[in-house]
Amino acid sequence: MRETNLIRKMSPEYADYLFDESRTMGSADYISFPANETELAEVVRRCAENRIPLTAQGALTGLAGGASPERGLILNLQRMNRILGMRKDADGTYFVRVQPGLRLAQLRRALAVKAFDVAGWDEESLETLKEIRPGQLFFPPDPTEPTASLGGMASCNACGARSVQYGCTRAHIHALRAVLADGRITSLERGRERAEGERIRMPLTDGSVLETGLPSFETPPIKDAGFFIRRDMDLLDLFIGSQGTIGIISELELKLMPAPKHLWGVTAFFPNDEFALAYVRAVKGRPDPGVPRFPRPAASIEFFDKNALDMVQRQKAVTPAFRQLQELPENYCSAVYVELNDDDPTEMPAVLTGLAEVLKATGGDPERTWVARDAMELEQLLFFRHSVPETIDLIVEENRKHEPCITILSTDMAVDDEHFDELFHIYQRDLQASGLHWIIFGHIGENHVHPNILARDRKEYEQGHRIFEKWAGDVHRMGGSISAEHGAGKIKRHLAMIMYGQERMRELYALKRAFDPQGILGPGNIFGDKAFQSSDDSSAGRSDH
Amino acid sequence: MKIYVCVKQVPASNETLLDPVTHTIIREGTQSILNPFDAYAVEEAVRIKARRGGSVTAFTMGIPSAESTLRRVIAVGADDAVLLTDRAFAGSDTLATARTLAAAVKQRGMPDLLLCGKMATDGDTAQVGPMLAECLGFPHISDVAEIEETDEEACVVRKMTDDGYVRLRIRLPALLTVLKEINIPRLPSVSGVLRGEQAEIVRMTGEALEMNADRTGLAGSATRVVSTERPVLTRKTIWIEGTPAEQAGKLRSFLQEGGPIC
Amino acid sequence: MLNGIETGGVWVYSEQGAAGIRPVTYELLGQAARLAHAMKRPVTAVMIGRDNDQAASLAACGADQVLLAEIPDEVLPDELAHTMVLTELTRKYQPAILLMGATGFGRSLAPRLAARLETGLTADCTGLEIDPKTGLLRQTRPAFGGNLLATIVCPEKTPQMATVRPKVFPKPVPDESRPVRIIRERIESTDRCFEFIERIPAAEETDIGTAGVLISIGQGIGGTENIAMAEELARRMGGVLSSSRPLVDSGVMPYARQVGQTGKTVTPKLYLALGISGAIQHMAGVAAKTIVAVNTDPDAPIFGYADYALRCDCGEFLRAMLEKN
Repeated sequence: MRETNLIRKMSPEYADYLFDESRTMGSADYISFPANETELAEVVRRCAENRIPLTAQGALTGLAGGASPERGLILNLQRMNRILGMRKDADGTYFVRVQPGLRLAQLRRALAVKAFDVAGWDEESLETLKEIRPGQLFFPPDPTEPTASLGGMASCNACGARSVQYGCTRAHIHALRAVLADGRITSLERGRERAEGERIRMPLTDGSVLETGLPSFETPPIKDAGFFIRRDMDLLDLFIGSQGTIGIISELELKLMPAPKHLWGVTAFFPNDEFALAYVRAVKGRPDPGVPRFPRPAASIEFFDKNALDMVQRQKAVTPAFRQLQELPENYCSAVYVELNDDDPTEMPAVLTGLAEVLKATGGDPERTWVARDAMELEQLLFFRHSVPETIDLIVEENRKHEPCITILSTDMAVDDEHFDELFHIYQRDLQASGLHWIIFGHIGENHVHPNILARDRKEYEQGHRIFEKWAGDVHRMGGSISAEHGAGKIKRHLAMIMYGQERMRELYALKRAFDPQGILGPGNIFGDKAFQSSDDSSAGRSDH
Repeated sequence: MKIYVCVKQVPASNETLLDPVTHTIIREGTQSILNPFDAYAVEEAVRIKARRGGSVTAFTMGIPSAESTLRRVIAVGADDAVLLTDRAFAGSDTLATARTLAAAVKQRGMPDLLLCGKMATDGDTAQVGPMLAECLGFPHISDVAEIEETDEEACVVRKMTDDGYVRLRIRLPALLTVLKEINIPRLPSVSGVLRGEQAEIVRMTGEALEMNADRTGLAGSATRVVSTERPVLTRKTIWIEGTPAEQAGKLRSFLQEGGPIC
Repeated sequence: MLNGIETGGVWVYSEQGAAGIRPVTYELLGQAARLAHAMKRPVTAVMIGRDNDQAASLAACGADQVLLAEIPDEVLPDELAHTMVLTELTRKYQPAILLMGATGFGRSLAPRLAARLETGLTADCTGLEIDPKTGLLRQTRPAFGGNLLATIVCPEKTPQMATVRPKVFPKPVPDESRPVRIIRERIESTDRCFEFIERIPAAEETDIGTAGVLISIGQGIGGTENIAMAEELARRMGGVLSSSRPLVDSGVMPYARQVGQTGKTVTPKLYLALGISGAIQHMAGVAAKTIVAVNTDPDAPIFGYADYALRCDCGEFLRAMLEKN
């Protein structure tokens, strides 16, 4: 492919673009940094003409290798990082239009302090901006890494601790524009373009229409694993969660919500995991017999096992940045963090009294808790939460120095409420028996926690993968999903196969190929394409089942 | 040991932001918090009490809503708190503030040790601590990085000076202003927050302190603000565009023009 | 006039450090001379302690006379002792203005003295002028975290006291031909705050105040990995890592590395600001030949001060800078 200013040959100066946060190393021949949708479409068109695969990247914070290129061209969207405008609809809901490379932290800051780069905004956007106050609105999804890009979050349907109350990224995307594999563009809005049963007729901006059909099954209702398939679905949902395998998102319209006026956080320490789980059940509204009801719904719930706390404690001694972390109480074991939205601070004493009762009934202790009552104190608790994945990063980096094949080994499988405890105990049993270095922490509110295996050598790394495969089978048996939020990406695509089975994977792949006949978008994501070489003849739809 | 701590409620942020469309200063959305330096003084007081027994009392001069700041201080372990609030105190400069605090301290009974944060994040003057010491006739040491030993008679402290750290001994009663490196302030527990909510905060007015009107408030202040203005920036900025790799390359060439940099 | 010292003069407190008179004293003498000229009064430098032939340097930088209060040797200046001495001297000679360096000691001594004298004190002034109409000292300092400049006066009490941070004003060119006039006083200074035990050797020798190249990190630096890269870049550029206040407040960087109004004033040839927003209180501490700013927020105030502006993520910038070996 001819090199231009827009499409450059790969060179060592771009080495950092070969891997995402999981440290899955990729390879590429070209790299491009489009500044706008027009350039993005042009790059895709040129790749299509030359049959060159491409992998889209946002901020490279993914944990599943989804942005690590598997040959071809790297399509890095960091220059498409602006907020393009905003509007308010008839019932008072605010929407903001953004480019996919915009980072969540930038969006949050802009909304919190009302600081926007309004160059090029239309009249309606400027008028809407005048009305809003700093901190009035917020964008609820909160994946642990706030430097993630909105495009990346949409591609893997990122969730976060707050999904318990607010749902995942999908729930907050109202409209999007995407570039398809041949460079044509579609502009879709929730409620406007829908499938008719299983038939899809997707209008494109050049007036043409893409026709095909949905797979015969619907994806699991608990958590999405890559694709979202429903009869009569909103067409834009095809692009959300599918990790760049159907099209490249070039613009997003996000639905904002009124920011909770007040945010409290409470971290409680328990002498063992069983008590912690009993507390979590109560917080989620399913208290055990004899345990009082939790006084108010929690906006987010997170769990840290003893290994996670030990790890942070050790790191504290070594890393100056962790110096200001709270000192853990004596004889700590597991911890549960609960976030409470509250518009009326005067209600808090009653809420805390109720919370204290639940603690006492589940084996906790109201004196062995940390309470954050304002933004600054909350930052301390959030800093603590964030220190767990950051410490994992530091340890994996260290281990990679001896064994480059090592990546982050983390899963986020999810099952429904009834099966959660069973899955948790499976994790514990298998990990304890493995002899590996492991921790469990995460968004226990949506029933997915992240068991992390910190492999010290190749043998342990492979052992870790085998354990994940075993769990994929267990989760499948329990009707759950293998990837609640990270996405299967590349690291866990074999897990996708286990969860869906051969037949359904073929159908999903056929759907993908309907949009991408040459198979150039996101090679290696979700589908290990070698497995599907036999089905790359179909190009438009498939027969009804 | 009888320990007093003087604390202040300050705005959560000093940023004055301009509205991008109207170019006026945005004043809404300001929360109030406990002055960060004071949290360290409170934590140190609570730790000393845990080691040596005694009591910790917090004082603050402010508007009635400053009561919430005092409840926080009780939540992390102070025994009681006093709020000095009166319209007559409004407009106080650091000297008037120090006098008012001193009057309250004298009324409640002299402590063995008085701790203050080094300075408040809104004023940044670091003046009230030493002034208060003078008003009380206490010796003082500023910039304390560590309280190494303390008994009924004296403290040994590690203090930061412009030429490095020194170890000093100070006889009690005394006033110390503390630095952030002295400890890590704890977050309250659920029980602590509830104790703070239920505590009774003592309020004292100018009359209760028997202060003359010319010793406090605007009338008792020796300094006055006569004007404020926005500073003007006059540099000519060159924007360097491109990907990070391109930006780094261009920056290098610009800097190299001015002599080898790296 | 008493002992040849006119009342209503401009006084500069001459602070002794471990290495002799602190440089801020000379910077203040330069300003004092300007103020005294407007007031048609003399400049008096006040030294507490032994002479050690330093009076000449004070005269050379603007002192018309040196008031030397001899007290017994101190290992470390004591706030109560100096308050006692200065109280007696100011009551005797009645200066109109008293300037002190806003050093660690100055910021502890000045308020104690002001409280004893029941006069006004303005800390960390960046501007000093005599108001031609009122004859009062107009003291300018940043307010609201540096986003506004406030001008303050002390209309009724004397002396009008002000402290100024080191390196805010330039050191005047010494004029060795100026006459040296010393007036000696012996004053009881029995009050003491503390008993000196010992000095503790410093672990950290780096002085950002003298570095020629500073890589300065702020809250937007983006994590420990980036801080490590910034350190590496500083090493490669023969510079030193410094920091804005939030990272010091949160314990990530030591206070000795803090640049700004409440930290150190720095005068490097190159100041590379990474993830620093550029609040005036920070920039007040930066007097650099070239300022380069890296920040993802196009509205960050630092871009108004920068010679070169890069809208870029700090981590990506650092990786790009370090790749070029």
